[in-house]
Amino acid sequence: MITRLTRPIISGCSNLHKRLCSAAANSSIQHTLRVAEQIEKKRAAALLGGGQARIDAQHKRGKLTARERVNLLLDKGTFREYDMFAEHTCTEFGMEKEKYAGDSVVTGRGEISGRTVFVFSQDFTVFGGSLSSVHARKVCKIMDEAMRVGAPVIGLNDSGGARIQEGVESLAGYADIFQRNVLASGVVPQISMIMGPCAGGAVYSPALTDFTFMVRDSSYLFITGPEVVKAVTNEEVTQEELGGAKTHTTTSGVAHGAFENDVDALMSLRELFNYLPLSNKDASPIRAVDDQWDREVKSLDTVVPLESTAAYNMKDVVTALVDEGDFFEIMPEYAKNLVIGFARMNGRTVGIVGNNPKFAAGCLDINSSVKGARFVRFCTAQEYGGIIRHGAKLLYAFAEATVPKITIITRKAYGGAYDVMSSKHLRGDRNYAWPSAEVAVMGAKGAVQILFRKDKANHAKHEAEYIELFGNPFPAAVRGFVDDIIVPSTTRRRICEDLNLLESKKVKNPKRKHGNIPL
Amino acid sequence: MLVEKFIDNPRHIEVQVLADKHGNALYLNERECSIQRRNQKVEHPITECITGIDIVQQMIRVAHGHKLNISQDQVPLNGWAFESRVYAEDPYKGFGLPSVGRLHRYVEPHGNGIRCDSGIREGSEISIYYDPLICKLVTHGKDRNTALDTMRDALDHYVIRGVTNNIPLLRDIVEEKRFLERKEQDTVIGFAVALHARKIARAKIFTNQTRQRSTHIDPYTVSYRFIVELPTEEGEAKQRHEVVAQFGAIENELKVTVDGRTVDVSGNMNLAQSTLTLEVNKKPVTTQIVAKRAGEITVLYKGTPFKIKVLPEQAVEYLQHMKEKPKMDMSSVILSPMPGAIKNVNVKVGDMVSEGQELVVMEAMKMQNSLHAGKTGKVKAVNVKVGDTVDDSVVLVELE
Repeated sequence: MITRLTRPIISGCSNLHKRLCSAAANSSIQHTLRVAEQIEKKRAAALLGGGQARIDAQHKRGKLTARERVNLLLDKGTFREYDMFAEHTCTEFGMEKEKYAGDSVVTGRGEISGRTVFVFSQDFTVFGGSLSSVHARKVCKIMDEAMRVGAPVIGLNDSGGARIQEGVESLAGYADIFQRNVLASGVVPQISMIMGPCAGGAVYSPALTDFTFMVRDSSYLFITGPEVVKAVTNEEVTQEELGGAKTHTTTSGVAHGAFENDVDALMSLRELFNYLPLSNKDASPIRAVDDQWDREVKSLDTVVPLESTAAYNMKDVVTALVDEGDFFEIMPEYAKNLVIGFARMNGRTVGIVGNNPKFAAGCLDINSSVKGARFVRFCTAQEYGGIIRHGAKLLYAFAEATVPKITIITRKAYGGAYDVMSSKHLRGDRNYAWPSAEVAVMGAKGAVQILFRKDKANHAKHEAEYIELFGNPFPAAVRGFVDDIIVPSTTRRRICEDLNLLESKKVKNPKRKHGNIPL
Repeated sequence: MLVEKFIDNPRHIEVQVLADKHGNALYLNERECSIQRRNQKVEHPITECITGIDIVQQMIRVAHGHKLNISQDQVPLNGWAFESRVYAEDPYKGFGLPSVGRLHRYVEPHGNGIRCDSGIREGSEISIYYDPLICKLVTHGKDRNTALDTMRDALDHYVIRGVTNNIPLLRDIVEEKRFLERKEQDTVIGFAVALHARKIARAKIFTNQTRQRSTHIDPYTVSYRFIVELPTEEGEAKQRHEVVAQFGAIENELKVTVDGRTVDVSGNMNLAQSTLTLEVNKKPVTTQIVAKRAGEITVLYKGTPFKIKVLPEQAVEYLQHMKEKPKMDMSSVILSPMPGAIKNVNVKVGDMVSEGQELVVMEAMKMQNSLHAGKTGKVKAVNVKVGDTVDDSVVLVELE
């Protein structure tokens, strides 16, 4: 590049130019060219992060580098990097002797399926991805811009934690990020993908985001590592047991999903992104659709077994109803008695909540209530296209939600669950019952034991009478608590029509600083 | 001790007879039943097809005491018929391990010359209590080739989701030659990538996103470059191909290049349809999209499912860094291969067993499954007893 520029300048000198090509002019031209060269050198170095050796080490662990991940996540050629030349400012412990362009994080914006997203990808090859004040500043910059223009933020986490040499600057950096996580919550979707270690205070950021995903066998999320656990409590535990993907997706419920490897994780993240609106001011995306909205779903007529105590899988109902059976399930391994996730109905993204009788008889317990509540609130915060669901925190979430709410009672709606699962009384917009629906305070056996305590001999007769009275949708239908008893195979058509109608729904809650949801 | 005549390369031929109580008897031509497992069945539908005689009705008449109302010279031999017994079995596991489940998607083939005898419809459940038969698929044609072509077509159009089935095996049997040729590989990659490209293009078409309209590029004008990986056997080197997909003048036409070789794909690529009939390099191809996931599409070709990885071209280097997950050592546990009932438990805790020794016998779908020790060792735990019903993949016996 330099040679191309110098030849015409030096060799093509006219008299005028000869005067200008004095020593001073020459040296400033040289300077310009030197600077241009320096910029290209720094850019090339930035692309190598912590150097080829460290890149190879990352690959050996089965992990991609920070830049490779961004490359795979975003549509080709859409990444606009910010702060590629930023360097850390630490002068303690001789740190000033080792600087890397971009420091330990790659930040910027790009597109996924043509829609804007802001992303930060921590670079494990630079100081182990540790957080410095500059690293934090880079992340805060893209978060601020995301909030200003209204676009989601995706964080690819792979970091050893705070940069010890930076001391309190590092802690301040974390706090700046946490503050923004909180301010952005409910304004733009925030997704964390844990692709390496994420320990100590760093775990709070993903915990504050809307969704946290992990990569199996190479990512770990814990506040204190196994060494400290062993030192303090003398308990032996592996990294995987303490904070691996399996623990967090099945036991703690901290992670919403796990993927086999980096490639699988990033490809799946793109799929999830396509369901989400860009911000709380944007409508839920409606995408071109191939699946006919009025398709009859014959398999729904037989999905609920004739035997009222036999289990069936609510997921069968969901996949039969939604466009092309595409259902992005959130937390599939945790609190399996409640199914949540995203899907499309006639191209429109919807959030789905359903009790799954296959597990613990589909009853609502603590874990499933929390699982459901958080999801419902995400959907509402984003002013979602609609929440469909077929069954303390969850009740609050549904009652508060002002987005379109459509409910189908597929079978049992007993006791509190009837109320909680977005009943008409909680401002459900459309409530339907299938012929197999049973709406009652409790099941026959329990009820009869209480009502006819003194008449044990006739319990069987009373149970039969109870079932006759309450084991059907009429008590609810007769009072208008459900809008209609529908044929299951027509459910898809009904939902698509209703979503269309409810697009213009406007409902507001009374003005207040914030409600006091039971935490 | 029994001594029998040894018959080399035998054929199993059946002749259908019909007789009444009045001394009249007929034969209704023969059936070739050699390609059968377990030699259980008398296959009357194909005889009905080539003779036009309702055999069941005749049997009922005869049982009632009527005389046969057909004479031997009135029994025709019209064309050719084939019957495929479609089973809820996994042809890749032990040559037919039964599979249970709910048929959440089920569409039978229909048309001229196709007859589907089944008691199944969409939403039906294949359970452990019965034989895993889904349907007796019969095709009829004026000659052998026509009947065979119709059978191939019918199998390709048969949609069964919810249980594994033996259509890949049936389809393979009626196929003329094995298809590991490169041309066929290109065909599969061609249309699989075309469908995947359509899915990616469609993902960019929103009807209500109004932002950044001025920099929006029509996804149907862009060419898509992929790295494609075909499924391989364990131990085989992975094959990767560079594939480019470019939409033509209309969105139903694509030019796909596989490692530089052109494959033209056109037709209705509606991703919601159960079966798709496309034209690949001017030849008709029937396929079904079995699954579409992130970075992957599974399509049926000639009955066999192909799980194909399709990744953006940037991933070409990234794939080689992904580690293979270590295979778990399954030799110390006996897992139930499918749901069923425990018929026999031959060991107790503390017993020494040798590799290959039968430990448990399970029964399901009128079949017994013998489960053997994966290695020599001592029995650590026996988690079931005779009469228990278990799910798929339950640990039945553990060895130390």
